[in-house]
Amino acid sequence: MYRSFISAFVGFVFIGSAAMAQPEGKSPSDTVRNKYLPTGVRIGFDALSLIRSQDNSFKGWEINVDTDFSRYFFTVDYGYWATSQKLGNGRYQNDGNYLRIGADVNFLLKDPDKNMFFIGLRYGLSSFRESVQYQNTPLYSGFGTITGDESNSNISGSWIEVTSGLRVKIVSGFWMGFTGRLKIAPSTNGAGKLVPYDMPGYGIISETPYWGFNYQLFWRIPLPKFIK
Amino acid sequence: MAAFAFGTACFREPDCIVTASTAIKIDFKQTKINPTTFIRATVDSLVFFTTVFVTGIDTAYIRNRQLSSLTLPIDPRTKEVKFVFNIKSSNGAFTRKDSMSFNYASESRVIAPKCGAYTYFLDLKVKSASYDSTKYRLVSNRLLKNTTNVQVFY
Repeated sequence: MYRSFISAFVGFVFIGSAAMAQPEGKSPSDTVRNKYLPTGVRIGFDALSLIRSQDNSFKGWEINVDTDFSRYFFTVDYGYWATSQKLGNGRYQNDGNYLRIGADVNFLLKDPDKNMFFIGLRYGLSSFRESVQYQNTPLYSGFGTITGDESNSNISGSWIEVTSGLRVKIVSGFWMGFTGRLKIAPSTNGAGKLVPYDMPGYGIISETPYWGFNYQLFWRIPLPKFIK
Repeated sequence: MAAFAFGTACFREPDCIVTASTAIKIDFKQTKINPTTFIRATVDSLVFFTTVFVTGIDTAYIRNRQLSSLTLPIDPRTKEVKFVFNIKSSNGAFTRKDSMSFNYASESRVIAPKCGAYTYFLDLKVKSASYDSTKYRLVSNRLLKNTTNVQVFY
């Protein structure tokens, strides 16, 4: 899994670099080196998670951090996700934390407001627990109702995402934007008799690809000039 | 409009198709050779069951029926089941008693919130049988609706 992610990531960066390549002959070597130093760190959160948390069936939050290396942005997302879903014949609950690490390529490199239209890749990791209680009626009713009460106390999982979105500067130091996520290749470890259903950060594991969407608010902290 | 249709299609609830079953389906077969083409074919075999008993059920689950396929319940609280077949020959000349024992495992799956969660039985194995092992074949080790698990050749 890690190997396939790294291969995909290297390929992605290579394609991105080739597509955005500038003539290098005119640039002094020290300028080329300096343009890859970060100019700031953006810290934000997902507003949709907070809005969804008003509903009793979902509680969650997500923090997003990114920093620029010229047109490339290194990004980290960390979040919490808990659901309590009423089923047709019972109830399902889960909760856990997730981490996404990846990179975006900004296609609005020369925008003076540092607005972004980006495409990126993420590798997601999740650690969670889940439980389900339900009742089924067997073929022969004389055996009584099947009462299911299963749980997975410590599952880990991973997936890959292709992301795209926008960041738009609203006022000085404040950006808003969205990220669309196409999530693929979910996998889990550590499950017992309950087949893992809903992985925090990913969603319904049996559905791939699975879509995700964040509406994010960012504050940018410029790095001191001397770092450059 | 197309994008809207695509979007709604992606986010709608999945169809509620529950395939979980709490029964083992046994098909009775016989091999026949076509006298003209000499091609061997497997066809259904009608068997007259005077009684069929299932572990955990005190009375006969099936009584005096001629069938080529049996769908017999398992007790979801246990991990094994035994079926006893009392069979009468087509001309009524003799009766015989056969049995098959199975063991199995289970897992729980959430299908979708509206559909609910279900116990799926899997890893079906023939524990013992009064038949020679060449007389039966495990076709599917998962208990699913409308899925044959075992073929018995008469």
